Amino acid sequence: MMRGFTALAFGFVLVANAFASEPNEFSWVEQRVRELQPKGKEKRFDEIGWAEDIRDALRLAKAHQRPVFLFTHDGRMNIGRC
Amino acid sequence: MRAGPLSNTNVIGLLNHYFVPVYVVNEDYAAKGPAPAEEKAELQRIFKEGYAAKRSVGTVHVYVLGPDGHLRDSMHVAEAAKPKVLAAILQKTVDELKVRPSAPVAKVRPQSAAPACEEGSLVLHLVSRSMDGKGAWTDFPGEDWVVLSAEDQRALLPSPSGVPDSGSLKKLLTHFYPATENNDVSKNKFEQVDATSTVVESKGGKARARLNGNFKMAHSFYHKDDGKRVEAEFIGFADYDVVTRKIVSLEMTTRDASYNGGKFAVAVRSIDH
Repeated sequence: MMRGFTALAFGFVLVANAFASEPNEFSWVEQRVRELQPKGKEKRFDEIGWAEDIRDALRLAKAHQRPVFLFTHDGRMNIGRC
Repeated sequence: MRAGPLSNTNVIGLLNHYFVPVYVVNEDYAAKGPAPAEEKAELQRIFKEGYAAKRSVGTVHVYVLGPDGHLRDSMHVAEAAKPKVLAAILQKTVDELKVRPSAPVAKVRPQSAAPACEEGSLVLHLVSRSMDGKGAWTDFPGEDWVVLSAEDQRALLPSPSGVPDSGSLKKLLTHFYPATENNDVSKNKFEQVDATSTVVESKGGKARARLNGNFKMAHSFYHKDDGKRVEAEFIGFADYDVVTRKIVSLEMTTRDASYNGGKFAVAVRSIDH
């Protein structure tokens, strides 16, 4: 008898959760999208003042009497796809 | 480099206060790449100076040029990726040239920026990150920018069939993969896409659509077919104008996504432009 009641109650909870999950889906998606965004420590690359291209770097180097740091790479380091 | 020295406080300080930092993408500077001819010529000139001086020269490399633009030093990425090693080569140049510190000479700005697009387009920013630390380059997430035309937006919205246009959906889903060496999405092959788009709310000429489904997509880790595939379940919501069927905002994420035995997750959100 008790086992039957427990099963019935468990079944009710499952059905109730199925209905309750619908309105919460939007909030869940919003929260998950927010949580997956890049964190500050993952974007330190953006703290560097990068020149537009080699010619821009050479122009700035001459104007400010600074050396140039040039990194050549495959892929797209700026978006983490490299 | 990005997760190592280019996230290191000491290296960032040296680059900002003593150097003009610049990075270039080899694909852009290849013979058929989109970089201007003058840019390609400058890179070739630097390579030639390196060969002439018997310095290390390669495509994934660090080069240090003097204020006069001529090559002073170079280093293979395997060495330069060590923060202390890179800091040392930078400091050596600073000391030799007696460079005085000052503020960055190029504007500090986000390096991942929304592309220019036509009026009426929907600009989406996508983030893909490892959820279990498995796979390659899990130190920071990958990002992509996807632009959907007005027609693409309409095709994603609820229709009598309840099935969104797979062509428009694939434009977005093709970027659902974790960090891999291969980022050429034209090589991806969809093996299955199941999706539904339904109205969940409608009021005052605005409506909200729920877009969910799952897909399987072959995506090689390197540029040769290797049988590896993405399998993912996704869900999102799009708020749109009922009359124009233009999407005002969209958010989407994966419930469960796997690639080559690892778990990853994707988040997509629209950006005002």
